[in-house]
Amino acid sequence: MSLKRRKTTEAIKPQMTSLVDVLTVLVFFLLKNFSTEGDILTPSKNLELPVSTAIARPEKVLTISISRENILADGQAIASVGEEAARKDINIPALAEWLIEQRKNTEEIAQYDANVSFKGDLVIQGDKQIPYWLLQKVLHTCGENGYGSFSLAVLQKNDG
Amino acid sequence: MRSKSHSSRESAIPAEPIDLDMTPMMNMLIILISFLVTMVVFTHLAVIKFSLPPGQGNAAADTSTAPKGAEVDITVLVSEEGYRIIGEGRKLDPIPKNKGQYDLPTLGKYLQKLKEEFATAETVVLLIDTSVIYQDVISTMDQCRESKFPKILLSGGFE
Repeated sequence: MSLKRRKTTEAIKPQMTSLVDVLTVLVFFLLKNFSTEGDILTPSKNLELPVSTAIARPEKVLTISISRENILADGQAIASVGEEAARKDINIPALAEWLIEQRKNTEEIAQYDANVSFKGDLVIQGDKQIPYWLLQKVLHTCGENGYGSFSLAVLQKNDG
Repeated sequence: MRSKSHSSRESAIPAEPIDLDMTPMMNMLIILISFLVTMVVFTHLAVIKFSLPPGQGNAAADTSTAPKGAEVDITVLVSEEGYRIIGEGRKLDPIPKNKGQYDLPTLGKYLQKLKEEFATAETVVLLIDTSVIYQDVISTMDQCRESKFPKILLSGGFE
């Protein structure tokens, strides 16, 4: 009995080569998708960004998201798309209010800190299905309140 | 070393296969993988930057802004039917949609021609119909950028 057992233990030699192969390939794949920058911009929920060939990296600034149902300012829903569609006006009052408040805050901080200044930068995350009039309304509202420099968030195409 | 000294005997008795101890290697790989999995990014985000023309703070994207000075005025009309390029008082042939999709390659060709004609031109005004969806706007902007028109102004009539 004891002899038999010893024989079987000797016979078992796990084949590690294939496993190491798989793991190595996995390591290379993950290294390719590795990002040292982390996520500066987190895409909002219920939002599918359009695909683009743009390569510019996002910066940390105020974010306005336009989903199919709502307009969100820094994650907070401030206006509904349905209501905006019904109202035939190019401004979005709720958004304007929020933008003015943010601007005031920034300018107040700028009085005490020389590194902070109001530049009027905004990141706009739009769902790829939203119609142009909605984007235009948002852009117009931002423009009227002194925000003139936009970054449209997009998903980078994978062929680069 | 060993195998060399016993080389004469090896031919007679087959040498035992060398057992590589893979355990440390496996440990390292598994730790490396778990580390990489936490850092991996599958969707690369990017941004398209554009500014409203300076001094136009109050008149937002809806105002058609004529490029100043010696700049050549090239406007791409984006409507439900397709594209149409209007440049320097001329109208080029309309570019209809191809199978329900905007015909980006043809737009690229037209813009290329315009680029050859006006080598200094950098600005394109996109005049977009209100019902055009965002993805098409972005694709059109991409095509303009690829055709070496880096300055893109958005414009459109509000109804």
